[in-house]
Amino acid sequence: MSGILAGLGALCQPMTLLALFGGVVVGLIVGSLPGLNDSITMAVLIPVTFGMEPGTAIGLLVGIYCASACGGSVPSILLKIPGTASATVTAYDGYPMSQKGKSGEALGYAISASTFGGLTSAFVLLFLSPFLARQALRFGPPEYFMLAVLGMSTVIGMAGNNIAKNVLAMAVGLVLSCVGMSPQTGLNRFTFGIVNLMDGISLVPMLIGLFGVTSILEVIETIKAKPAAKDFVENVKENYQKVKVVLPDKEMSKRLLPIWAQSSLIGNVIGIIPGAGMVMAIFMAYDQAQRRRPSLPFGTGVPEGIAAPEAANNAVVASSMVPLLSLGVPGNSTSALFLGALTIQGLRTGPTLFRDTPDMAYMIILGFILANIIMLPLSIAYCNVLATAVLRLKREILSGIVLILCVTGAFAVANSAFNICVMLFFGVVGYFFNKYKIPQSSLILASILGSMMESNWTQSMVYAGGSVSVFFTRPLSLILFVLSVICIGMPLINRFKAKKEKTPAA
Amino acid sequence: MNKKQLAIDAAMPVFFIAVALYVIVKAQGMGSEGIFPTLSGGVLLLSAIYILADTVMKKRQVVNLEGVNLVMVLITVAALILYIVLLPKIGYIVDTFILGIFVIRSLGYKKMGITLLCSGIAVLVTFFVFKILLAVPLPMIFLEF
Repeated sequence: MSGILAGLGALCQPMTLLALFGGVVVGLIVGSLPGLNDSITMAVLIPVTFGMEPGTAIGLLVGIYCASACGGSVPSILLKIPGTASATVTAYDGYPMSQKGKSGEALGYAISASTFGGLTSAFVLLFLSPFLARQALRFGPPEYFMLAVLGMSTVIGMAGNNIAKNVLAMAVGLVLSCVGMSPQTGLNRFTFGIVNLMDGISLVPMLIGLFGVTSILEVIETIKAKPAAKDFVENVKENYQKVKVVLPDKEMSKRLLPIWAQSSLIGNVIGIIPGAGMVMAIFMAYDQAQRRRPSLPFGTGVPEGIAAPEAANNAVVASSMVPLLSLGVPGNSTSALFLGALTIQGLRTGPTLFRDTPDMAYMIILGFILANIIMLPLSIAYCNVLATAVLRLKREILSGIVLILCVTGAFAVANSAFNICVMLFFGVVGYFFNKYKIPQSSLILASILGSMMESNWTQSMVYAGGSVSVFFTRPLSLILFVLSVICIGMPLINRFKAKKEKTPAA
Repeated sequence: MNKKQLAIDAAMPVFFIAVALYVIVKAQGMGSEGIFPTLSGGVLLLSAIYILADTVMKKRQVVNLEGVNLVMVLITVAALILYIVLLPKIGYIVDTFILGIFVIRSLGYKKMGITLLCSGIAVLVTFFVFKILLAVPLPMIFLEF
């Protein structure tokens, strides 16, 4: 309780509140602009947060993360162009509803579902993180090693038909984590004589490259490729209707409540699992909503079809911070960015965050709750007043501004032009990863977990005199190992079963 | 699938096989510090070999370069390399201003006045935030004050 009060005190600082408010507005704007998303924005803004107080910096990022998932639904509903990948499914029913002249209602269903989903996940974060962090205080090196293994196993387990590419991306991440001085004796590994690489590859320039530069290269590759395609801004001018958001009334809220609850549950569970993500959550939530209401004509403008994915994607937001705050393991790419931001502010994620700086730990959690609350009126105001102007912003100019922020931000991380090289390198890596459909999230997760794995492996070996039995004789380590096996094994078994069932029918 | 497409699809696993072999060979000279890189390189090697075999045997198109303006991508990467080279020579403001104009123009935006204005404002805002507020030592060269 004292931690919550300390967090509340930190959150109630005027600058923190202002930053949170600003973050929500920025999140709504970037979320609604196709080509920009929360990860890109946070990656380019993290260097800007250097000079800020920790509370102000975190408030800004929390606001952006919360609101961008909601902002993505605006062009998805109005133009059938998802602002973010997590708003793809919203268009299925949102756009048909918009075509029927019910844009205001559709946006109202999306905003209310987003708020509900976001709030549930913020409360999951509030209650689950401190509990998990308390358990994690008992962890030693073998448990931390197994925790990293579990993190990677879940990513592989969630890979679906893309297991080999996920493993490859993970292996690349692990190799990248070896760059720099080794944890045992400080031996230089794979530095090619470059002094800047001795501390390893800097996380923030790497993420700026993977998110920011990659997105710009992907915009650039489309130049003159589709001359006949209608300009996005022209599309906005033609199709955008003057809307007035209408929130669901009492009767509709009662009807949508089970869908909100079900989808939020799905989103929360998916969010907690490292490697899963919003896209998986929205499809699962939409599918479950269809099963719950089989009589409804989904895809033709059904409120449930908007509420389900919107509640699910916002439910992923705060719950994806559970593994990061409690265990120090980022659950997805965006929480990896938070890891970078918190590290820059001198904060260490994991159980020590709650023990050493409870005010900051709870400030982050309460920040998610507050961001979701203020998101409701701000989203309504944004849709009613600002959205048309924002959607008319030229993509070319935005890309130029983003690139200027990228290079400046990458330089500012260590006041070194070398970091711009790192950014560019990872921009190209990200571009080709996307071309070959290799998931970037696995690369990021593994490059962060790799050093954690190696140092804890080394410590475990020293502790156990070189015997690997230490991982199986300690109960918590064994539990984590069993969970890892289940995470990899279950999806594989299910796939095998599905294939077997399919074969006789074919 | 034609040979060119196969070569494009196979390029990625072949590249990673080469990287994995390099990592494994280099790690052998690192003693106990080379265990983790060897294991990581081993996983990379196995997964890349599997993907290569899968690509060659199933001959399923992985990369679709249809409609992709790869030349523009290469020009942009080259422009960024040039930016890095020129940064210590002509300073942040001029270098970044030119980069901004280049990107906005190369993305197909026609109005030169607005391009100059947007690029200039973006550079001045980032300059103000990073150099003045955050005291980041951006290389200034000509415009040092």
